[in-house]
Amino acid sequence: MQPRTIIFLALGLMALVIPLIVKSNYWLYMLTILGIFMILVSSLDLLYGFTGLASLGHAAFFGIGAYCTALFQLKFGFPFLVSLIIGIFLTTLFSTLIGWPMLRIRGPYFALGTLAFGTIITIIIHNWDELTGGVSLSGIPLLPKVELLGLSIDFASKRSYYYIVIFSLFLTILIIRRLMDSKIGRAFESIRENQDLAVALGVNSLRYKLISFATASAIAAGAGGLYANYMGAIEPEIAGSHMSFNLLVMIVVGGPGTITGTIIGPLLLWFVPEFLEAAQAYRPLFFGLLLLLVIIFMPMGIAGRIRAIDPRIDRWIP
Amino acid sequence: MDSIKTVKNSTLLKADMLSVTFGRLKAVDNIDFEIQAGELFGLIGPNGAGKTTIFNAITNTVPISGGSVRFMGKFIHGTKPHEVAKMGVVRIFQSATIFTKTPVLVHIMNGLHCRSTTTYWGALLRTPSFKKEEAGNRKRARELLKFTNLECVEDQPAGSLSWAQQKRLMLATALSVDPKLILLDEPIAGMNADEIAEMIELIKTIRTNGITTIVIDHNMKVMMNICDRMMVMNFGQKLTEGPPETVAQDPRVIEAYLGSSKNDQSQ
Amino acid sequence: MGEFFQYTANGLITGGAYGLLALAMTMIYGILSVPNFALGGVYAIGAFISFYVISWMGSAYYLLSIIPVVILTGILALITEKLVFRPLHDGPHTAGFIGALGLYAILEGGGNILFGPTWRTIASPYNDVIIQIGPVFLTLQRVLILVICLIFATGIFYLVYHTMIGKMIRASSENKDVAQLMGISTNRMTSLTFIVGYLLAGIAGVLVAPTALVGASMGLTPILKAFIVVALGGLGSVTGAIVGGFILGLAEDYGAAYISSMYKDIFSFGIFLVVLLLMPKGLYRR
Repeated sequence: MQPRTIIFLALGLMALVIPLIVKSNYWLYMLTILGIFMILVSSLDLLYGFTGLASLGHAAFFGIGAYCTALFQLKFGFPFLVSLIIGIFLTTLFSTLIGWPMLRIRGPYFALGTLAFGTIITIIIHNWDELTGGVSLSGIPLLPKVELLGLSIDFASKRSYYYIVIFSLFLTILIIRRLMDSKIGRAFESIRENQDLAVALGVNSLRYKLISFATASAIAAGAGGLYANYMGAIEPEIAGSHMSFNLLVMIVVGGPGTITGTIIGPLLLWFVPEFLEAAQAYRPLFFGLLLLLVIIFMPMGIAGRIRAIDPRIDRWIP
Repeated sequence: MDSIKTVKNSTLLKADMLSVTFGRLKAVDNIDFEIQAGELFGLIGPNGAGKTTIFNAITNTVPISGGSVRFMGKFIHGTKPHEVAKMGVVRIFQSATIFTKTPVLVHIMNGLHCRSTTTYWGALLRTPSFKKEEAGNRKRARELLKFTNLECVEDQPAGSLSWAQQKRLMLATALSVDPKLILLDEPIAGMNADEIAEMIELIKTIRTNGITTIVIDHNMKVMMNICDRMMVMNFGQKLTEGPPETVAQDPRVIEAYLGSSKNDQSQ
Repeated sequence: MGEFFQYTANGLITGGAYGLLALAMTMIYGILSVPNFALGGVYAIGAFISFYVISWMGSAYYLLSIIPVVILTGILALITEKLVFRPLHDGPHTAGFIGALGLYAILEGGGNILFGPTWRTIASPYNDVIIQIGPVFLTLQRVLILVICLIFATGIFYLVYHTMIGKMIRASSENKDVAQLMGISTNRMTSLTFIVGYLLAGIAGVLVAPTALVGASMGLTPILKAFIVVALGGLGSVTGAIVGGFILGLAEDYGAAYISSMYKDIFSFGIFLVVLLLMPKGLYRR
């Protein structure tokens, strides 16, 4: 077994064991949201870290997934899982439609296009009150209590939800790993490294960019649905440019193309700042400074930099 | 290596009145040529003569402004670049164009992309057919690794290789696409004598296996040695064409390379 | 019918402001191939400076804010060019772009701390003077925006196309290596372009401040629209930036007036997306 896998499984075990040690509801809440962020950042990593597509509108898919999941429960009374699946499906459909023309465009134009798209979505969500509740959508129902094998499980409890998120995170990492370790993943990386060479070798770059884009948006939508039901209320800002920017900073700083990066990113840039109440006002400044320092001195991110120290260390960093 | 289904001595690639214009610059000006299956065709000329542009036109990486290029009878014109590769035309770029961060073995496997039938869900669910194909891909990549003498660097990122190794890697990757026609753009540039000899061996072996090759290079000695036929270009136009000995003695060629001098008889 | 002229005038004025920013961005893009979003922060800084000048000395001294703006934007230009963009230029394409984003975040974040999170208004002496041309009513301040924009546009056009320095800048933009071989100090040309660009952005901020809300994130939407203008008008094209700015301004104001003012910002982004999608091969280079 590879050293990386050992570390990864160790981390996984730690994650499973945490609720047994940590009893505080507040901490469980924070860790659950951290988990959702990790799912979201992983999806952006697929797009940016592996395929090289810098999207400034990724949060839009998070938001669309969240709102779809919430609205199908609120307006049609569908159960959570069904609404989640519909939300993922609709978001993926949408991303494929918008990606089809947009992914032909390269470089900063593409990034700007995604930013424009994300901003438009946020404005629409904000202004279409009758559907989305405008400034805030609340009253999203809690997950039900279920009888399973004689046990009564309350999915809405902090503990159960934490496990749901951890499970989803594992699933996400599994999906991404499996895709990357195949001709599809190789195509993604070839597009990132040198698109012209990839095409000269027979890779249909548009098709594979689209696959990456659609998969990333599907995962982001799933994270959105999980977020919606956990929080009980959502706002249009979760789809907005500030959120998209923060996500990009998380993956650039954490380390694109690594699992460690998707852990470090949200940990350093969301989890830690949340505890520093006084520093809230300094957050954008801090983010910008960190982003600058990383891109100039450590372009492979923190995880990448650690890996580069020595090949022996490289093998242990997932 | 796999046998090629083309009939030897049939026309593989045909260019008719090919022109490529960039703005006011006629990079390729009304050129005709025919490449026979199985031959090693050389393309020479001073820098800026339009040789690389011809390669770009053959792979449809730049649009053709006039005339046509046909590969096995099919017009290149409407075919997307990645489809051209799938059809069997693979080019190797002039500079060390590689996937820098990719390990060597995986790098070669990239060429197998268009020949693999793995699907998205096959990869996700790890179906038996997926596993079988991946194993086959690895095996094939290994063969090419051995062929180009890169076994010792199998796991290293492509960017860490020496220049000559990178060129061999580019060749191995191109070969994994299973091409009928391979376009080599300055394959031995920047190499020392030993490395050149090694590369020539590889090119000759490729030819023996039936793959048609077009080579651009400036090393006249080597070109005379390996090419069956050559075409000389200057300022986007064809100067002359024929077997190496004939071409080398053509006064127009000498003039283009060395400048004209009434009393100058040197080659 | 009279409203149409009013909307047109409004559109041209909005366009003038966009044009100034677009001009700044196109010049820097021309020489570095990086969309410098930090200009949005410089724009806000220009606005802040006039805010403080007016707060401390009274609105009569509004124009005096030009002096600190010139000095500060110049310093900022040199610092960011040398410390951020020059090292990133050798790296991958996206590095400069991300660096610019980081810079913008720093400027916006810094602005938030120094200026505070609330939006404020400032009053310049020109806000109270109203000019009437036919059916159109405009405050002198807004006319000033348009006038200054045109002056600067002509000035930059002259600089870039009719002076030796302009030639050197264009040479550096087109081919850095060849320009250096000809003895042009491309580093100096880049610094100069930065100084001019940052100055334009700062001045734009000073001009627009009395007509809009001043706050740390006031530059975000305008700089995005400026990039849209530059992308559509031709990267590095001076005329494209100005003309494009006017067109976008008009489109926005007509849209707001005749279609919906609630979704006003969507028009610029929507137009951008539509044009982008219809020209998938990439918008034309200069």
